[in-house]
Amino acid sequence: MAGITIDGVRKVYPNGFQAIEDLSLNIPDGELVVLVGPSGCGKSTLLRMIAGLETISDGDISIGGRIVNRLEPGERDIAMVFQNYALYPHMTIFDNLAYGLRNRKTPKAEIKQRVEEAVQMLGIAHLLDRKPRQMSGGQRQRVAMGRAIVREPSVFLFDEPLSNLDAKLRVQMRVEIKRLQRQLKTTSVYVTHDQLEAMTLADTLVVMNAGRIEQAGTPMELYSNPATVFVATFIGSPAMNMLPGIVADGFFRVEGDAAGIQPMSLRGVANGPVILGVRPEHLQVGPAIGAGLSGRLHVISSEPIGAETLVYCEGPGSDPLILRAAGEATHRPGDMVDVFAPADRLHLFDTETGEAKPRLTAVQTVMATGPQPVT
Amino acid sequence: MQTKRVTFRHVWLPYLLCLPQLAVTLIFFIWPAGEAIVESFYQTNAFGTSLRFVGLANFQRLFSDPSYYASIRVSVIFALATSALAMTLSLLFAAVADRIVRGTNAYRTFLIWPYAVAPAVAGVLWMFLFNPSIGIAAYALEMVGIDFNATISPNSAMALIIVAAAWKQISYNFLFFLAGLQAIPNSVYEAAAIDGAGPVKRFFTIVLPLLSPTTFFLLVVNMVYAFFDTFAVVHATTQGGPGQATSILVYKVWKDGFVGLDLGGSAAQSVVLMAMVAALTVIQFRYIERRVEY
Ligand SMILES: Nc1ncnc2c1ncn2[C@@H]1O[C@H](COP(=O)(O)OP(=O)(O)OP(=O)(O)O)[C@@H](O)[C@H]1O
Ligand SMILES: [Mg+2]
Repeated sequence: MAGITIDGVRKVYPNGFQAIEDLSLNIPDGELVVLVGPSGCGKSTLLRMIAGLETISDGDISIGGRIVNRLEPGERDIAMVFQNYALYPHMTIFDNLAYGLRNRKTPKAEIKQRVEEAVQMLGIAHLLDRKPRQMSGGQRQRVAMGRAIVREPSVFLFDEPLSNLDAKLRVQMRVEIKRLQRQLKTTSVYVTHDQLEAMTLADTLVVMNAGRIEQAGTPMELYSNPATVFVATFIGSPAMNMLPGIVADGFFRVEGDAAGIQPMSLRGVANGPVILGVRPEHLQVGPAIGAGLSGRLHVISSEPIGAETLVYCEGPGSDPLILRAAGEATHRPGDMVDVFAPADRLHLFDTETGEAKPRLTAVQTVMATGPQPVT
Repeated sequence: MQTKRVTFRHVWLPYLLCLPQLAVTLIFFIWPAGEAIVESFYQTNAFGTSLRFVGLANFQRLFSDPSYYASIRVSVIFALATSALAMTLSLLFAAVADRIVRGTNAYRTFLIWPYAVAPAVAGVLWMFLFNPSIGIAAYALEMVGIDFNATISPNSAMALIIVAAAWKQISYNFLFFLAGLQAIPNSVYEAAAIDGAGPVKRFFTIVLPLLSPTTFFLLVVNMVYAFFDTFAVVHATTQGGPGQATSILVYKVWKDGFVGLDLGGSAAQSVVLMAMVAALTVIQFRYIERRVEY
């Protein structure tokens, strides 16, 4: 078993494009780390550098304390599950699973035993004699998993392994991957686009953007305390509402037309432009209860999706303000709604750098005595 | 891959477009083939003035002629060696090129050029290279102590026509091998690399099996080429000699017919050759059409 240390790693492709810039990350032994980020941010590049499929331009990657920069993929004691599964088309499932073991001169009897254990674990024991093209996508996915686990490597690498499956199968496999990883306690790096996959699987969630790590932490840490505007809008669906505004004279006011959002008393924050963020689930319909952000908004549309209803309201900017209401909520376009978000649910970000400012406390937003500012 | 279906406005247009090809096939293939079949049952006298129906006598004579079996043996050796050489080299080149060009196809254009060279020209080219008095290849061989003289040594002569014939076929094979290699997804190689297979092992356990449909197809094509399409190569270089050492079947047909003036016997040989082509073609369609299993 082995942890992974990534130390000051850079990747410059032969065409001069810098896909990863000075990235460091420590992955403790047995942990499942999920890399998320927009397309092209360098997730696969990083994973492939760990695998040895891409050279490392600068910095070091070590697995289990051993620097692997110069080792061939086969020597790194890793296994990888590819998005397109990359099964060997001309081999039976048994041979697909046995290939890596045979290359390592594992005794025949042991190969047989390990392959059988793996297929039992994955419920594909009845498919051993089939060729990959005689199987469904879900079954191939299991074989790809099987090929990784028979080897009993010290690291699993997954590059969007579930993105070719339908929604239901994806959920099922996600649960299974989590279970297998818990059971085998193998250090894993998992790349995905899918937020839900990221949130549910990760011990540590790493949000990447343009070749850098924006933030790493537990999924709940990233959800509750996003370090940047990027992370705040990337984690959570629908995304956090962002209200650019200005702090002046102890008040926060949204920029331009307020569209019904009240100025909010705000002490302890330097004057100047800020971005205020509030998640749709933290904007409640109803009157202000205590300190926080409140307003009276114009409903544009509402989307009932069963357990909840997404209500789109006219916001100060071009983007609508989204709020999550109860499933039975009946807000119709044209209605006016009172909304409120308590102070401890608000996020403040620096307009320039996009970095988060310290979280607000109720005390900071309690109405100052004195004249109410006029909107 | 799906081919686009073209719709013609006039019913006769497609037929018109096929006409030139049909005409060529008819005039240069079907008609002479028919003539050959007919002629194989007749015997012409030495002056070409009389025709006599002899039934299967030409064939009987053919199959009791030791020099015909010698020619078959020469042809088989030649065809196998040519196919083996052409395919091995082209696979090697394709494997190298595949590493470089994955994605681009600029190189492909260059590598097809030898295919456009006429067989006779290719033959002459190689003949000069291996000419004992002026050829640079013969000179190089002499430097390493190999005496290469295609006009005296049967083995040299055989080697010469094999090299000349194979060279011409390499570019054709190369294209198919390259296409076959490029059809193998990168991730499969990568998975194998992660599974601990080095480049050589990957080649033999992944690449070669995945190329087997291509290889089989090319084997048939190369055999057909070596058996039936190499007259010009032989004619331009060794002319079947020394002795009968390089007198492959197609060459013997011509020589017996037009030099030996045994038209009936030559026609019978043509018919046998035709039967062989037909057999190979059937094999090709039977096995390739239903895609080699993997
Ligand atoms: N071989 C290459 N040569 C040059 N640039 C490359 C190469 N491979 C990837 N890139 C670039 O590097 C960047 C990161 O690519 P990468 O595949 O790591 O993205 P990703 O985060 O995995 O994206 P996705 O979510 O779409 O898979 C992209 O901008 C991509 O265009
Ligand atoms: Mg990717």
